[in-house]
Order: sequence, then structure tokens, then C-alpha cells
Amino acid sequence: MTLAKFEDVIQQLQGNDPVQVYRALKIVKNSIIGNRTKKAQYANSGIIHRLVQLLSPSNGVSEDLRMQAATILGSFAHGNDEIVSQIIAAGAIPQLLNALTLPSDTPPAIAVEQNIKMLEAATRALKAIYSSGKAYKKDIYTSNRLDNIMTILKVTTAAISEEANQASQTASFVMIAELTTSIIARCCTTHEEQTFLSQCGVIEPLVALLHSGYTKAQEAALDAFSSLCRENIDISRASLNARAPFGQMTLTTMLDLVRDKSQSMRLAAATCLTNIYRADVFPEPFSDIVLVVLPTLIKLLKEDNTLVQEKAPLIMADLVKDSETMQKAAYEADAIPNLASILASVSKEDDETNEHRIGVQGSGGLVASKEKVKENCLIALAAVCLLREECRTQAINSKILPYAVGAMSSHNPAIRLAACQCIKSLSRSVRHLRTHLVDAGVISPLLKLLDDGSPVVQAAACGSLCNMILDFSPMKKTVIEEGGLASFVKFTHSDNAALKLNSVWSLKNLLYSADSEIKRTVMQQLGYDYLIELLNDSSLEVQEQALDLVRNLACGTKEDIDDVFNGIGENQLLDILERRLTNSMMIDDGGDNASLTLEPALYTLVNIAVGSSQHKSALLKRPELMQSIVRHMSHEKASIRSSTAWCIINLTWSDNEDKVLPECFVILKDLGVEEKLKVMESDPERDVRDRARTALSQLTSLSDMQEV
Amino acid sequence: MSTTTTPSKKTISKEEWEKKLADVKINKQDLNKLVMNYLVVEGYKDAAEQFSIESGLAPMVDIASIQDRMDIRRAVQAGNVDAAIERVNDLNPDILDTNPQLFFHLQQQRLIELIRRGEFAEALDFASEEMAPRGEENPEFLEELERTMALMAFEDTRQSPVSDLLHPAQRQKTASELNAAILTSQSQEKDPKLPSLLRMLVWSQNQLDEQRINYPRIDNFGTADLVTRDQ
Repeated sequence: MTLAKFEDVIQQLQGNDPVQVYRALKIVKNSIIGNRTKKAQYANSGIIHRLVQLLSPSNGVSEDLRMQAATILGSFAHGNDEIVSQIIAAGAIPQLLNALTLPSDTPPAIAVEQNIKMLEAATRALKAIYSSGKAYKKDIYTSNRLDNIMTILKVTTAAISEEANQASQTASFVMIAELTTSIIARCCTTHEEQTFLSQCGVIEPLVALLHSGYTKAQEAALDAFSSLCRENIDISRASLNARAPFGQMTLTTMLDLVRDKSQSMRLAAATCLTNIYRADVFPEPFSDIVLVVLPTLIKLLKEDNTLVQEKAPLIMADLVKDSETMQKAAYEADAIPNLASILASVSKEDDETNEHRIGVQGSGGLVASKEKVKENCLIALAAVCLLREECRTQAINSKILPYAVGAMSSHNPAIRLAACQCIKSLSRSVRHLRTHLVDAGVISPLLKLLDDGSPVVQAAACGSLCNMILDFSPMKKTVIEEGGLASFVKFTHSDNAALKLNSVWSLKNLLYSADSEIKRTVMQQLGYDYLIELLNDSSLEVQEQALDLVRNLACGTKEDIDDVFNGIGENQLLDILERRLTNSMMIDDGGDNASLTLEPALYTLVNIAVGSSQHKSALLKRPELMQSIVRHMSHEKASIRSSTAWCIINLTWSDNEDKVLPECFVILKDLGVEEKLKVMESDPERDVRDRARTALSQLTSLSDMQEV
Repeated sequence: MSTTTTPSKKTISKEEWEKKLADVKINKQDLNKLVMNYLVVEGYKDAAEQFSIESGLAPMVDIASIQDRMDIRRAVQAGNVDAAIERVNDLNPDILDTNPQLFFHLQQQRLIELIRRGEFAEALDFASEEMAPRGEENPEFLEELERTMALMAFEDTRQSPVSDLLHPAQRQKTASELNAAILTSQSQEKDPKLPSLLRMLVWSQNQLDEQRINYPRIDNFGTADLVTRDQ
């Protein structure tokens, strides 16, 4: 189209002559459908506002014009996110929702039939807009909009469910039912919304649609069930047990649809069943999931369908990520080699360093799709390898490492992020970490990602390095020497909460079982003053990591403890620890928050109590602190009870260098430690019983010494 | 149970076969659905309408949309791609917005028709303005676009290595792809079920033949007479 014609069309559209406006609308519609370039071109000309204006019935615009305007808005929504943002900013969503209002003086079934074309265009546009992550999805829950949507859903579902329906508009009825269901699927994002929709009676028409025989409507119903059942036990159970008009259980139907001919139907059914499985309503041993859903997902990975290829790995990740059973099943079903071969196939051809890549990023082109597949395969591999060593071994034997390492230098931040997660899962295996991961050269790209432009990627890189520096000393040295330490310290000052937390975490792991030299290097860079700030951070999680950091600093030689005492200041440190112990009792109304810092505080005390007579004395001199320790001897958590016993063991332990303090026995006796320990001797946890017994025997020998 | 027969060749009598056939209960409505499915997918609009009245069975889609689909198909076959695209967009705008490959093939067909009509300047404009951006999104499209543009390089296109693009078969291919996409959007199968059932029947009979079993066979699918071969 020439430029002149393009401008004519824009001008006609802005005019008042309905015939010219209609003609212009038709031209715009047929130009932009299927054509991303034209969508962007027309969107930039500013016609979206005019389209929204045409939608409003108050402007005396004819039904046909309104319908065309809605259709064009829907087509625009298939463009990029920027266009969707424009559509939303222009106020299209409320106008389109208003277009679903049915006249109150007509029976709903007739009203729907009379407005069928407008309803079809409006629901189509809404579905397209709501498919974007940019859309605000709460509007359907305000005023009577959900009533309208439910009415339309029920009328259309009833119309197509009748065996001998002779409706002249069947195709439109089916589409409106499908589109309305898709809108519900996309707008149902919270637990409250799930409950509300279910109370509005959404399950019944969805069950009917699921059994309607119209494939598109069935897929939409599965999508809606997926949204409704996500992490919702009640709705998952109700959905599974709902029965079709001919008596079949919905679960049976869903399992049939996992075996459907159509790939997108299989994917939709597998997604739905995955969400229901994750809601924990399936009885063990989950044979339907292991024998039907999982193998279907693995086969779908290999299908020649872009959308299915992109989504299937993500659903698999969802299915396995929290379940060791499913990770084992995925291993046995060869999910990992399959994911690995797809990862290889989408990694080989592309040349990440090539600046002149064909394709527009994020525009749905072939390259963008390959990148999505790569990202999602890495996410799936990360999930499958979370818990089991055999899975990690299989992944490494399937030769994913070169691709995962390569992906860390991708131009696409989402791929870099996914690669970090994948490496992190693999690095949970110390055996592989020391051999394959080091050989594959994972360290230097990870260190490079610490300087990434995206804080999310930085945090993930930090999280991956975290595992690697835990108890593998050569890695500690490398990370310190190659700038990792400097980055961690820098991030502890970050405004990004995840990055800050992960960096303190990394420092803590770096200090775990570290020698005094490493400890001093770290503290020279971090500074004790800032460590004190971190110990009093507004985030309890940061406090927890900072306390653990102190615990690791204090674990080792007496000189290490001296360093911590001098660095933080003996009194200040013990004040902080004492507060953590007393606070946790004050807020001990079932809140887990306070106990988050209780355990690291207690273990720091355990480490200090190992130290010299002076260190022991510093603790014993503080009655408040000692009382708190004793009070926690009957804490509900076994690891806490155990740590208090350790405190007593260390306080009453003597070696050649440092004798037990003479006042120790009396102090402990007055605190009633002996009685508490006797109770602990019959603790349900074996570890606690053993520690209590050791502590008691040391205490008894002290008492003997006292009497001598 | 008889134990005297030799396992050489089994014969099933016509009576026995017909009794077995009669034992299989087939829902009349299911048969009607098969017929309706055939009429709808193949686009026999009038027959579908009549059959719907006689059988009382809904055609799963409205009759008007069958007509639309047939009109669209014919428009592509007649080289009138613009009209076909407008009709599809009226029928369901999502079809071309969600099928980039189909959309590209329709654009390609438009380009072919321009070249066929000798409108080379328009063809060049169209290719650079409308089609090149699609090629950028997808390298496979770029190859096809280059092949189509090659049509213009030959004095006598019929002698060119890309002459197949001007064959009626190319229009047929595009029309079928579009037809299939419309059917999918209407929750219909791309192919009618009846022919695949017939293929299954042929396959089953061949299996029986291979087992050297003598049974009343259907040789003529038009009459479906059961014929028992002589020993």
C-alpha cells in the first residue's frame, strides 16, 4: 500500500461518515490480520484510541461498526506486547466487557442469539488481550461483568450441548463458548478468584463443554480447569469427580483426552492433570500420572508443533519439580535424554555470537521460538535434576553440559537465567561438581554472570555459585581470586532483595569450613560494621544468613572466635545473640519467622562455647543468655533442643589447655539444667537423647570434681 | 468344542458371518453422524442440509459456514486470493492471525497470481512490502519467497525450474491448506472419517486373506454384497 493510501485510511477512520469509516475499518482489518509489520505500522499511527471510541454504544455507532472495531482490536492484540499495552492504555478492556452486557428485558438465550456477532467479536478480542502478560486481569470481577460472562457461557454451552440442536449459528455458539471459557482461564489467577468462579457455578458448564465433542471448546475447558485447579485441593477434587451427562467421571475423560489425536489437546489435558496432581488429590501410586501423563509429555517434546514444543518442557518441569517420585519416574521414562537431544538440536544451528541473526526477537519468529524451546528445556532439566543423583548422572551422560554452559552466554537473559538454574541443580552433586562441572568450565561464565545486566540473572548466578563454594576448597580460592568475592560483597549492598540475600548466602557458604586466611580475606572486604548492619537487616532471611555467616566465622580455632569477638565487639555480638533467643520466645505464637534466626543464633553460641576459658566465661557471665538457652531445651523443634544440649556439652568440656570454669557447675545447677537434661534423655529423637546423655555425664563428672 | 478339524484352512459360512454381523449393535445415530461428517467436511452443503432435516441430526456446524468455506476454497482455486482472504477474515480473524505459515502461503499465492498476470511492478512492490518481513521472521519463508521471485527471472516461466508454482496443483495445495485450517477452527477434522473406515475394512479383509481364512468378503464397496469364494 502506498503511503498516500495509508494516510487516507487513517483520515477516513477519524471522520464522521459511517460509510467511509466502515470502508476504512475493512481495509485496516484485512491489512493487519496475519501481518505483524502492518499491525505495528497502524498501531503507531494512533488509531487504537479511535477504535475504542467506536466501540462505545453511546456514540450512536452501528452494531456492524462496533463489531469491526472489536475485531480489529483483537487482531492488534496478536501483535507485540507494546501494542497490547497501547490497547489497554486506550481503555479497550472495559469497553469490550461492556459489549458483553445483554438487554435485561429479553430472555438470555434470545439475547445471546440476537447479539451473536458482537459477542463473538468482543470475546475474541478479550481472549487475545488477556493472552498477553501485559493485561490487567481483574476487570471481569467488578460490577456485573462476571454475571454477563457466566450467562453467555451457560447459554452457549446449553445451545451446543443439545443433541438435536438446529441452531443456524452453531459455529458462532461454539466459538463464543470457547472464547468465554478462555477468558475465564486467563483471568483466574488467585485462590480467591478460583473460589469465586466456582461459587458462580462455572464447573457445570465447563464439564458440559469438556464432553461437547467440539475440540476447540474442549481444549478451552481443559485450560480453564487447569487455572481453576492450580494449587486448589477443593476445586481439583470437585472437578475430578464431576460427571458428564452420560455418567462418566471427568477424570476419565481427561485421561482419554491425554491420548487424543490432536497434539494441542494432549498438551492441554496433560497440563490440567499436572495441576490436579500438584494439588495433591490423586491417590498413590499415581499410576495414571506416571504411565499416561508423563510419557505423553515426553512424546510431545518431539512433536513438530512450535507451540507444543515450547510448552511441553515447562509442564514437565511443573510435574516433577516438587516430587522425588516424579523425578524418579522421569528418569525411568528417559525424559532426560529426550530433553537433552532437543536442547542439542536447538543449540547447534544458532550462532549466539552472530550479531546479524535473522528474526526479530520476541516476535514469534522461528528464532524466537527456538530460544523459547531452549529456555524451557533448561528449566525442565533443572527441575528433573533437583533431587536425585541418578538424574544428574543421566543428564551429564546425555552431554547437556556444553549446551548449558554455552547458554550461560546467550544474548537472551531468560536463557542465561534458565542455564544458571540447570547448572545449580547439577552442582548439588558434589561428585559431579568436582569432576564434570569443573571440567566443563562452568565457573568462569558463572562469575561473568555476576556482572550481568539483569539483577535476576545476577541473583541466579550467585545462587549457583553458592552450592559450588560450599565444601570444595579449590573452588573457594578460584572464586576469591577471580573477583567472585568482590562481587558478592558488592551485592550485599544491593537494593534487589533476591540478589542481596543470595550474596550473603554465598559469603556464608564461602566461609563454611574455611581456613582462617579465607575468613580474614572475606571480612577485610565485607567489613565488620556492615556485617552488624546485616545482622539487624529488615529482612529476617538476610538476618538468618548473616547469623549463619557469624556461625561459620566462629567455627574453627580459638583465634577465629577471637577475631569475631574483636570484629563485632564481644558485648555487641552477645547482645545480638541474646536478642535472637529472647525475641523468639516473645513472638513464639506459632510464627516460624523468629525461629528462622533462633537456630543460627544457638549454633553460633555452640561454636563460641567450644572456645577458650575466656569465651566460655563470656557466655556464663550472662544470666539472661544462659536462661534463654535453658528455656529452649524444651523447644518443639528437635534441632533446637539438640543445639542447646551441644551448648552444655561444650561449656562443660575441658581439655589440657582450657579447664572448665569453676563457677560453671553452680551456674548450670541453679538454672535447673540437670533436670532439663534428664527429661531430654527420654526425648523422641535419638540425636537429642544421645546429646543429653553426653551432657549429663559431663555435668556429673563436674559435680564429682566439685565435691572433691 | 470340536477337536477334529485340521488347522489348514478355516471357513466361515455366510450364515455364521451374518449372525455375527447382526450381533454387533450399531447406533443409528452414530451412522448418521458418520454420513453427516462426510458431507460437512467434503462441503456438500445442500446434501448436509437435507440430511440434517431427514435424520434430525445437527450438522455440528451451521450450513452457512459450509457455504462460506466452499466459496473461499473456490476463490483460491480461481486465483482470487484477495477475496478469499477477506472472506476468511470475516469468518474468523484468528485463522490467519494464528497460522503464520498458512498466511505466508496465501501471500505467496497472491504473488504468484500477480506474476501470472504479468503485473511485475505490483509483484515486486508486494514482495518487498508485504512478504519480505515474513521472511525475516522465518528463514524457511525466505527460501520459498526467493523461489517464487525466481518466476520473474524467466522469459518463459513454463520452462523454468520453478514452473510448478504456476500449475493448478499449487492453487489446489494452497486452497486445501486454507480449507483444513478453517475446518480445524470449527472443531472439525481435516479429513472425513468414512474413507478411513473403508480403508480399515480393506486392511482387515487383507489380514484375513493372508491368514488363509475363507469368509464372506465384500468385493464391491458400492453394493457391499457378501461374497463367499468357492473352495
